Amino acid sequence: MNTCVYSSTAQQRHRGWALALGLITLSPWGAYANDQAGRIKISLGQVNIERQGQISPGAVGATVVVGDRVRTGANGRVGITLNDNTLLSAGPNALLELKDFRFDTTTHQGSLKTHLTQGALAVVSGKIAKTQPKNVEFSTPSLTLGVRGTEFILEAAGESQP
Amino acid sequence: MKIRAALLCLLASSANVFAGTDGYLVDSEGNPVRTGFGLCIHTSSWVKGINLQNCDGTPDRVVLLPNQDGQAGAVVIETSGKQTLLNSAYAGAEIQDGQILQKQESRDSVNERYGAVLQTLPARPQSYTVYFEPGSSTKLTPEHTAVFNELKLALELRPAPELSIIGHTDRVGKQDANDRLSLKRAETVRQHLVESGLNALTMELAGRGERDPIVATPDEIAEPRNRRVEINIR
Repeated sequence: MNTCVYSSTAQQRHRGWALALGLITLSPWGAYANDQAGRIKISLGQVNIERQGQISPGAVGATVVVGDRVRTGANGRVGITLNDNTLLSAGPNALLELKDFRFDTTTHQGSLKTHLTQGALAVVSGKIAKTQPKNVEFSTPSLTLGVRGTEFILEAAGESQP
Repeated sequence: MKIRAALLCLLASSANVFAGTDGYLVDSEGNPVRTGFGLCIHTSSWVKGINLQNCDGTPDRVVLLPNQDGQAGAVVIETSGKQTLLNSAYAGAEIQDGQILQKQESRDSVNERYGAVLQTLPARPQSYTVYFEPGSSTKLTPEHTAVFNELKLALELRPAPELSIIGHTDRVGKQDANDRLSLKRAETVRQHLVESGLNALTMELAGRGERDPIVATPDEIAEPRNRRVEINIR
């Protein structure tokens, strides 16, 4: 991130310390090194966030960080807004992993990678897709999707279905 | 091959089934006949890529949607080293076993299959702008009060609202000085908003300096419309 950027969230102040100590890549306290990448805005039915082996409810307002796996149940749906204004929504029985997210609010440079193991995902791409479309990638087990500033649906059959 | 032929004969003699034109054994309504294990039966006309009613597994799917202005952007699907471009509204594709089968969808077919998912998209981010007096990082033009009031109303309608406060300058002065000035302007707006009791989960500040003008100008030209702070709510 750029030095012109700061945030009033506690998580990011911790990150500032991690940076100052040069520990950002070596830190065993991964949670501090991970910025908020987005937040859950809509949560219906069963929605969970899996983070470093821990499962927590994906309630409205919950943060999403890089490495999170968001899972919906048979009656679940979830809407997430990422910090670069990318909008995501997943339907029932979905499993979505946020593999990479970096966004510099000064230059709008960054990268976004998600992997949809199963379920349906609607996407309205955000600022990174405008500035650096080559760094934006959505994948399923059978395909990779490159995005050029757009809205689309991606559906992964997953292993559990015939 | 012999086994399949034998099975075909067995089934054909025991029920009202046909070798369909799609490469599957079908019933009188054209639906594929399934075994007790839910498997379909290929006929000799079946080739890889044909997939009647998901007989040969469920494909992954991609559908390009029109943007809000009605135009479509583009996506490139890559599988097994092959690339396919979708660049028109409701252009779709089914992807399975490294094969890409293009398929035109419609607003109706998308709503039928994905209506609930689309309804779960979060509200579109909205942007509000306030302006500054020349060279000043603290003096807002008088119109800001009305903008702040509008912003507060809009925030109340959003679940888990977040703000990005993004400062900008015109092109008078050096770029690094303008980076600092733009961030100070963002900080001024943050203070105003906090003092007015505004509630958001996060407020991010950014200074974009002179990078992102509303009105393009040569360097060192004063332009009031570029001396601004954008407040993005999401």
